[in-house]
Amino acid sequence: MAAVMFGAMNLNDNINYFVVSKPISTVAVAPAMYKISRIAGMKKTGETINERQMTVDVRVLGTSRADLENKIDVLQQALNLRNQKLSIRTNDSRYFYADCIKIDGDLAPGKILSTVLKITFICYQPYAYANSTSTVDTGTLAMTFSSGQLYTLSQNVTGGGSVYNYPIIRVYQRTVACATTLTAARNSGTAYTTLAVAALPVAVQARDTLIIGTGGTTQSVIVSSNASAGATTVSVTSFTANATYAIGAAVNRDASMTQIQVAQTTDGSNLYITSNLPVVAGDYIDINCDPLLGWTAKLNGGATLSVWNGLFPVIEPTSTAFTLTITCNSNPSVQAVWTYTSSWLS
Amino acid sequence: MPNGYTNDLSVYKTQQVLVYDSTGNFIDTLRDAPLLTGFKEVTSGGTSPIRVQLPRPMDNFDQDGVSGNLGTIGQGNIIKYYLYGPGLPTTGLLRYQGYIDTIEPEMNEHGEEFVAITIMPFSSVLGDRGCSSLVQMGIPDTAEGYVDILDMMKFWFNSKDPITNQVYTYPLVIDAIGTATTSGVEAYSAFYNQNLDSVFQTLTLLLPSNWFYRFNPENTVTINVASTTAQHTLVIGQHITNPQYRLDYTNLKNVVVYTGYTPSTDATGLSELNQGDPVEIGGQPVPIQYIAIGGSVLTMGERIAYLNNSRITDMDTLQTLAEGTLAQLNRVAIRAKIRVPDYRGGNGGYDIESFRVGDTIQIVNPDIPMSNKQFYHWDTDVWDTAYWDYKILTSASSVLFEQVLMIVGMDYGFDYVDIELDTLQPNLIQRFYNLYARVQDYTTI
Repeated sequence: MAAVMFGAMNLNDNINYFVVSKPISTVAVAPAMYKISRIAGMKKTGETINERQMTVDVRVLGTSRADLENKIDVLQQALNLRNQKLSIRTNDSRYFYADCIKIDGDLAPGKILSTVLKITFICYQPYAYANSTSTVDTGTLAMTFSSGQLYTLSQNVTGGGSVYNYPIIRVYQRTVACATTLTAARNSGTAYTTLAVAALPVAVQARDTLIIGTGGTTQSVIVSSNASAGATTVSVTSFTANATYAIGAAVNRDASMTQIQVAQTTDGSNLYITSNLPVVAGDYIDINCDPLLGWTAKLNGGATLSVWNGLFPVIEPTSTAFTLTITCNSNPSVQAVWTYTSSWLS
Repeated sequence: MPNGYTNDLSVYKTQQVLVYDSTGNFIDTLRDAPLLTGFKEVTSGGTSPIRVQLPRPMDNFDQDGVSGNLGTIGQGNIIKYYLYGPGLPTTGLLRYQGYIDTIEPEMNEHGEEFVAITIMPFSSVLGDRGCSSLVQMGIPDTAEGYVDILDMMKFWFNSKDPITNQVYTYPLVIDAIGTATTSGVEAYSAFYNQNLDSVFQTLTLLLPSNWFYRFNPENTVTINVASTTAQHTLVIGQHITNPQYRLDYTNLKNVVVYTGYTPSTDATGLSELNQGDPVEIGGQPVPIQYIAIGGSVLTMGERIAYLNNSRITDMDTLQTLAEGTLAQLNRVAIRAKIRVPDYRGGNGGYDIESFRVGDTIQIVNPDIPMSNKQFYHWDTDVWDTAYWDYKILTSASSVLFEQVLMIVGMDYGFDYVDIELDTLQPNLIQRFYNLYARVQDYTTI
C-alpha cells in the first residue's frame, strides 16, 4: 500500500505504521423533501452535503512495548495538528483538509508489540483536491462583436476529477493603447465625419471610441471604418464638435470596460462585475469563485472589491462552457486564464 | 435539458446575499448566510424582520469601524437576498431586503461563536414614520371636496415629512405598474400624531372590500384590489402539501355602531355640527353616529360591534367606515392554510416565487365528482362506482375548492411557502382592532 499522509506524517510507512483499512465512501447527500398530498413518494426541492468524517485503521508496530508506546506518542503528536492535508489514495496524491478528532485504541495482553488504532478524521469540506492546479489560458484574443458595445469570448474548460471545483478567473485587458494627435483642428459647432491625425501607432477598428482632447473638455467619437497603423485619416460617425480642438490636440482610444459578464452556460450561472474593471493594457481582474476564500473580484491584486451581482461559476468535471461578455467602448482584446484545482468526491 | 449536476440552475435554486452601506455602496457578500427563510409577508401590513445567525468569532465578525474590516456587519447596512434558478432572472430575483437593526455577537455554552443580526425590512416605516402636524385630505361634509382614498395613500409617498424633510415613506415608493389609478371612493380624512401604520389602516378601511396594500422586496408598495379571477391555480396531488380549511363564524358581526366626533357648542349653545343628525340631547352635544345593519341579523340574530373614532367629523365618512367595517365583519371567515413546495429541484410543486400577498388562488381538487352527482353512503356504495371524495361545501352551498381566495399571509421557507388564504384579512382585522383600541372612547368588540 502506498503512503497515506497526514501533513508530513506517513501513516503507512510499512515499517512502524501500517494502514489496515481506509475509506472510499462519499459523503451522504441530504435531500430537502416535501410530501405532496395524495401522491406517492416525495418532492425534492434541493439538497445539502455536510462535512465528511472518516476512519483510518492504522497498525502501529514496535520492537518492544516501550517502543510501541513511543511510536504511538509520535503518531498522536502528528495527528494533533489541525487543518492538515490528508492523502489516502494510491493512484494520486489528492488530499482532503482534515482534523483528526479521535484516536481509538488500546494496549492489552496479546498486544505487546503492536496495536491497531482507529483514527477518525473530519473534513469540513467534503471533497478531495488535486495536488496541483490546472490552468486554461486563452492567450490574447480579439473579442467577437455581439451588439452595441458588447463583445464575447467563449472557452470550454474541463474540470477533471469527479465533482465541480471553484476556479479563479483572471481577465487581462490586452487592448493596446492608441495615442495620436490632431493634424487639423476641429472647430466648435461644426459637423465632421473624419479626423486628420498623426500616423496611427496601431490600427483602429470600426466601433472603437476615440477621445479628442484631455482634461475637462473632451469629446468621444466613434470610428466608422477600420484604419491601419500609420493611417493619417480616421473616418468617424458624424459628430458636431463641442469645442474647438486645435492641431496637436490629443486623440486616444478609449478601451475602458463598463461590465464583465461571466456566463457559465453549462449550469446557467451569470456573474456581472461593474466596477474596478481593467482599463489599460496589462490591467487584470481576478475573479475568485471559491466561497470560502473569495467570491470576490479585485483589480490588479488590490484590496478594493469590485461591485458584482449574480453567481460565481464553478467548473464541472466534464467540459464546462464559459462565455465572457464585456461591455467596452472599443473592440477589446483580452486574455482569460482559468486556474483551478480538480476535485473528487472521495 | 438538465445536465444532472447539483449546480444546474435549470433545476435548482440558490441565493446570493449582498451587503451595501446605508447609502447603497456595495461592501461585500455574506458568504456564510443561511438560506433565506423565516419571514412573513401580509396584506396591508409590514413584512417581518429576520434574524440571521452567522458563524463568526464573536470578537471578529467583520464589524464596521474596525481597521482592516470591510465592515459588512454595521448598523444600517443594507442586506439584499437575490435568488437564482429556474424561471428567475439571470441577474437574480430580489426576494428580501432590509437593514441591519440589531447585532448580537455571542459565544454559547457549547463554545459555538456566532453573530446574530436582525434584518429589518423597509416596511418598518409603518411604525417609524408618521405625521406630527395636522394633515387634512379633502374638505369635511363637502362631497365636492372629497379626495380619492388612493390619492390619500399616495400622498405619503410623494410628500415630505417636515421633521426630516424626507418623503414620509422614504425609501419606499409606489409601485407604478401594480397600483391602481383610482379606488372609486372619495372621502375626507385628517391625521394628526399618527404613525403611518395607523394612517394606512384607517385609509384601508375607507377602501372597498378586498383592497390591500403590499410591500414588495424592491422597496415598492402596491395598492390595489384583489383580482376576482384566480391568478394561481393549485391542484391537489400536484402542488400542495397539506391544505387546511376552516369555516369560522366566531368573529362575525352583523350590526356596526360607528361613533365619531363629538361636536362642541358655540356661543349660542348650538352644536357646530347640525345636519339633522341627533347631535344634541337635552342641549348637550352627543357624538355623531351611524349604524350599519347586515342581512344576517335575520338568521343569526344580532351580533353587534361598537366602534369609535373621534377623528371622524362628517357623517359621510362615518357611513363609509361603518359600511366598510360591516362588509368585512359580516361574513364567514373562510380560512385556508396550505404549504406549497417550490417546483425547483424536482418534479411537482409550484413556482413559489410567483406568489405575492394579495394575489388570488383557486384550489382545484381533481378527485371531486362532477356537480349534481348523488352522495353515496358507506352502506350503499358500489365499488368503482361511488365517489370517495366530495366537494367541501360552505353554508351557502358554494363549492369551497372552487372559490377564489386571496393570499393574505405568506411564510417564506426558501424551499416552500406556507400561505394563508382568506376572503377576509385576519391580519388586517387584528391590526384594525388595535387601531381602534387606541382611539375608541368606550366599548369595542
